[in-house]
Amino acid sequence: MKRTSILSLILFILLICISNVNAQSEIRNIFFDTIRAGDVRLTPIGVDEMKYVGNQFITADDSSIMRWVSNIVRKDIDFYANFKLVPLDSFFIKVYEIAEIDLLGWKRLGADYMVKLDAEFPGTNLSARWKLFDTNTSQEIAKGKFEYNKVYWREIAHNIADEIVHTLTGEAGIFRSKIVYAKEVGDAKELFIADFDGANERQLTKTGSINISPFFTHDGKYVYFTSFMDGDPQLYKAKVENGKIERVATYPGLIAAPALSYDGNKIACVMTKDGNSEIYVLGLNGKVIKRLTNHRSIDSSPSWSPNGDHIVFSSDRTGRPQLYIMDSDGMDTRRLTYEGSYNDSPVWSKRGDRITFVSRSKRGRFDIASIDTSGNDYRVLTRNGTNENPHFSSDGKHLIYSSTRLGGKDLYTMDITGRNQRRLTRSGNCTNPSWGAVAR
Amino acid sequence: MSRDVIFSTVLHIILVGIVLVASPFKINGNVPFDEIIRVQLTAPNEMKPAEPVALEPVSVPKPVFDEPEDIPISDPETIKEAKITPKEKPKPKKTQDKPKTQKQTNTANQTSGNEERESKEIETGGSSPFTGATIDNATFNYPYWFTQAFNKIASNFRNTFLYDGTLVCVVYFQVIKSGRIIEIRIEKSSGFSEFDGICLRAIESSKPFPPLPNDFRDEIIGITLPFKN
Repeated sequence: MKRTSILSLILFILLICISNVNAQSEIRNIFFDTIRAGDVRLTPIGVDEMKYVGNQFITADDSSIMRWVSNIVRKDIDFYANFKLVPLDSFFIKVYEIAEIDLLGWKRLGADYMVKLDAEFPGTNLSARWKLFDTNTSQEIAKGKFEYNKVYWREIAHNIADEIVHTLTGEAGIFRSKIVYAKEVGDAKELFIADFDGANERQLTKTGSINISPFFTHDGKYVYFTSFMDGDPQLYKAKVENGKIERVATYPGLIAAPALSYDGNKIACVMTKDGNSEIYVLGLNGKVIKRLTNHRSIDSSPSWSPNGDHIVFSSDRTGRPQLYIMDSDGMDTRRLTYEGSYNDSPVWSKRGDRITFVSRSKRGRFDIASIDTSGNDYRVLTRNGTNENPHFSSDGKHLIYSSTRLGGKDLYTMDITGRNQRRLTRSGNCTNPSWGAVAR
Repeated sequence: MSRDVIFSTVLHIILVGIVLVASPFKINGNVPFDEIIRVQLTAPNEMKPAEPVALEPVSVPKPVFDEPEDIPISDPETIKEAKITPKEKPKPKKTQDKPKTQKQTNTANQTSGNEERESKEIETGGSSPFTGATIDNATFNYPYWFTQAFNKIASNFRNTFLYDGTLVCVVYFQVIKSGRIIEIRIEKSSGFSEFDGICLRAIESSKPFPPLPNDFRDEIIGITLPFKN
């Protein structure tokens, strides 16, 4: 009797414990695979065609605007270094007899995310709604709305793309950023400003002289540049809003290759005021803060490290131009490059770990190359034509440069790894590009 | 003797009844207690939605928003705060709606984040604390966020430390609503400060992370993430 009761009691307690454990199965833990080096993956995103959701008739122009907005959002997504655009597959649609592709369809096409675009046209405005979905969970991740005069449909599309980038990466998009570059106009080189994708080009300077090496200030209100408009090349700035030009600095000899520090307060540039080509640091008002180099060779093309502690520059002190790094006070200079017979025009990446520059590679022509700050991992990023004047985008993920790969000098962009090379201009006479921050 | 048999039989019937009654409790938790939900970084299609529940209370430091943004990785034990800057708003007229998700239907049942965190303990799972990462907020059910954040970390994890063997470094970090990191520290060192530094740098270089979703009520999540060489 006693033994049976005790056994039953033990069994009872055991079963109670097991049922308690089962009841706790609601408490779940999430485990992720351990992070391993080299796990890099582009995010595949599909963008649906923009649809009209109003209840009135729309014009053919409105219909075109919807198509254009969809295309611009797609182009922006495709442009972004971390994304991969999943195109609509007409064969897929035909095989599955799909009238309208849904989340499952996008998932089958390989998209992890899908962007849905809706439009209305209240008055003269375009009201664009966007929604971002996770195709794996059908979860709506984010949504928003932009309403603006319909003539600004391109701005609206860029805004939507920026929001998608921000939602998925936490970073500010670059699709409303501007570029500035020199373009041949007759015998002169004038500065032009355009959207990051080359659209909306407008002329900034009309000096009838050579204007080169432009860069935007961080607030996007001014463009600093070197100009021959008064004889010797000197430093000027032009107001982006109206093109009004002011002289920033005037010193004997030349002032060339100005480079803005990442904090936006100092300019490193090349001057010959003391007889030889040396690197100086100026304030934004043009006043000399410090002379950094003092060498009988030609020192040129300075570029700041993101923390402002170092400057990379080119110098022919060992015969041919090679890259050197020095502290921002001019001390502790060390040679960076040994590969490439001619290295020039360095720019320090925003992340600070790499330097991109122009290098005469093994094929004997100038290419865009990249190297880490310890002088290792030399990589050539371009392969065709002569490629020059690299400059980083404000997010540090893209490069703009000029190339002759298709004949004339045009502007191209690529990811910092060399992937995704795209042609921006087609006029065949564009050089010296510089990428500004978002400024509207 | 026969009384004993009857007593035992009755007791067994009761036990079987309890088992049958108790089993429906399991229905809400479709996943067995010890099941591991894996989120693959390289193949997110295989990722299952998860409802992480921390089992151990976590002390969450209050974010201090006016401290410098840069976090020196040389001192990982120090709790740092990132300066919060308002999200850049585009100029065109814009209204950002709060997204409605499937979760929103359950919002009435949601308790505040602090209560959730207090009621659940952190489990690293498996036999080793190095087998996977955990999140300390059970209500954070956004698989996409992990995919994006971990993809970013993986792309910034450049292991230059050569070691003939397996190294594991576990890092704990906290992310606030804007996607900024407010705390980062070594939870378990690999034993090599160089490798630990590389792991910290991978997270440092990945900031900012994607902003926490609008419909996520809490202001902060904490993630424990193991790195392997």
